[in-house]
Amino acid sequence: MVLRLLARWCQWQDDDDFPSFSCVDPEEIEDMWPYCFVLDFLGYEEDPVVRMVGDALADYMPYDGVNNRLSDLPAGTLVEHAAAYYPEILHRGVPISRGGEFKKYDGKKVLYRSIILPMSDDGRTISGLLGAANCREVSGE
Amino acid sequence: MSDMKAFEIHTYQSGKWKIDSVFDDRDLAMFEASRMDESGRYSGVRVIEEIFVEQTQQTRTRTIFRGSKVEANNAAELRKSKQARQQAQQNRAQRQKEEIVRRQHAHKRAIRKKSSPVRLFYISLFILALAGGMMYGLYHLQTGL
Repeated sequence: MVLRLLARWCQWQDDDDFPSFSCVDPEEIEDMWPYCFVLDFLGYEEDPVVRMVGDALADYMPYDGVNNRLSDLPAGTLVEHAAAYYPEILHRGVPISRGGEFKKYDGKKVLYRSIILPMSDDGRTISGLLGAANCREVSGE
Repeated sequence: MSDMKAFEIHTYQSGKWKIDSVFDDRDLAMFEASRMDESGRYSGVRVIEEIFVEQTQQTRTRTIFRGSKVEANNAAELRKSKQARQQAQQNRAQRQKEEIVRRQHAHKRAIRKKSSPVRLFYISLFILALAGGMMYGLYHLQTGL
């Protein structure tokens, strides 16, 4: 999924450095949208605000974390881990994909693969991030 | 402590390489780079493996994928530089050959010049004239005394 979303991001990008959120149509990417999350960090550079969490990701959160600061999300959630490296995207200005594993808040081990894509209102300055992650629980831990 | 690896996909745009995306998974990066290369959208695609060695705190990089266009360009450049090198070698050999021939001709000319009968005739004429002049001088000196 991360590669499909990256391909979409490239299409949205057009000639700009970064695409705008206005290009993102959840219906157009309905198969991926439940796995997406949006971080708004314009004015919240130190600690972005979670503006959207897809339904599939919400299943991995004990409560709805929308409009909370990233640091306020409960530990052991998929969004927390999938968004953990967002400063690197701000620093490098390119999409970055990471994978890993973590212990969920209920103690289950989860393997995940995520991607964070830089977004912009003016095409040049990063104003937000679109992230996505898919995962699977691993039994036995 | 383990080394950290990152796989950067670079694309060649407007005359320079630009980082397109970063992965921590080699297979994913290679797959994406191949897809991008096949799309034909970019004039060059490559994957750089970046290894950060924690022990030495140093980063090592190496190219692990080059798109077909990059390969083709590199091969063409290599062919071109090989041809240029061969041409330069041929030119140098030709110049050396010409120089040897020129020297041989000059040497032959010099020998011919040395043993030329016309030259000998003029030298003899000069000696005779000199001797005649001296004899004439001596004769006048003697008659004068």
